[in-house]
Amino acid sequence: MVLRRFRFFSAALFLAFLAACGGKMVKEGKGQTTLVFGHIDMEEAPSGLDWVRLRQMKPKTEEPFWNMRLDEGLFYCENMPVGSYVLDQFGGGGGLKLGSVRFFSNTTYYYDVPVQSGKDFQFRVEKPGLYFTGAFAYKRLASTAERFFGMETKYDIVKAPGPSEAELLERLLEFTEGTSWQGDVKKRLQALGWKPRKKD
Amino acid sequence: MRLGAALLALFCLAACGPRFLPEAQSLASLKPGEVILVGKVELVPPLDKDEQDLDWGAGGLRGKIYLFAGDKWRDVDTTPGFGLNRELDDGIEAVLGETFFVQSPHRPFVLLLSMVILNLRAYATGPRSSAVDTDYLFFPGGLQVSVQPGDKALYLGTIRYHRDEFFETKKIEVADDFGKAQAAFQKKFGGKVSLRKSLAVPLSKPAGKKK
Repeated sequence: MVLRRFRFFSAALFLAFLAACGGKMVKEGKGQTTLVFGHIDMEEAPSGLDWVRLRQMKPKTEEPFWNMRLDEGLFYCENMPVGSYVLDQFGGGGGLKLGSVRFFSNTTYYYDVPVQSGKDFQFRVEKPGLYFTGAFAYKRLASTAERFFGMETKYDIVKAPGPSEAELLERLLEFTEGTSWQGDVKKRLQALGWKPRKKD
Repeated sequence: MRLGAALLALFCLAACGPRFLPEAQSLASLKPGEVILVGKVELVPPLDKDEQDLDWGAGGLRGKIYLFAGDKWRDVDTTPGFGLNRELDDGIEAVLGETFFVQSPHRPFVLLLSMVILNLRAYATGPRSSAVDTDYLFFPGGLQVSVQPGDKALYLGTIRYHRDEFFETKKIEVADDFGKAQAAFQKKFGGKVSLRKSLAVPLSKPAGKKK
């Protein structure tokens, strides 16, 4: 009985985790809102990317933190109000990387981004629609010796040359299916001169 | 053993906290060679009441601004920890929007940098682990106050940091509220010592901030 309850709880927790961390967006749009998206390259990081959090600076709200949906570095969230945001924190679990999954570690890495980190990490969303924050990359600053002893405490986050806005929008098509956002994504892709890839 | 423990405690006390300029309580507390600095710092717009996220017993930092100061210009090492604490020696702990009165050595006063602690929160990251999230706001210094021989009390003005929603400084203004400051000074210290106006002015060297 206890085991069954535990299994049910685990399954529910897993489903809740899946629902919160990515996947398709809610179908209903919320009026004059924004679909915010961007990318973080974690190639040099000691962890994966399990969450990205934006902080709403304006308009003021009692719940300023936005946990973004994720898909292999792509982060996005629909129906966000027009306003100002900063990249506040991102992070993930450490461990040995096998494919896209990490094993053998119980360490979770939290990467805080100071509010005053400059224009690259401060986003003024001035009108409803799509807003591309840009692409970023985790930059390793710890020495080899520090990393060997697990002292991965020095890092930076920098602007990255890619993936491009069009590449990310193309990936977003899947997640906007059935929502009012898909039309905006397609229109923007057209404006960027994107051509659909031929399927094999 | 006891001596060792006492030395360790003294070392910790000496190392853990910055030595701010003491608040001037009365004229009697003023030592020879010291001057009372009077001023105010404001953020425009001001911080909202919930904008600082301070827990973990850090509520005492709410609404405070820390002024890094020296007698000449230098860069400030803002690496969090003991280094940052040491940099605050001879600095001023002020309440935003309130007039401060501090005892300072009789020497030029140079404002190097100002700092507000925005976040200091601890949270559980697992059954036996926790993390502390800190975020500091820095506002530029680069202001100086000249001290003349014979000065006992100086008014340096209201330093206003105009900022945007990301706490980036848009403009620094030194406002002259001498009338109000003088009234507050006389109420606190009486009329024996006069307060001289010596508003803070920009240093000739442009001030930068090191993060």
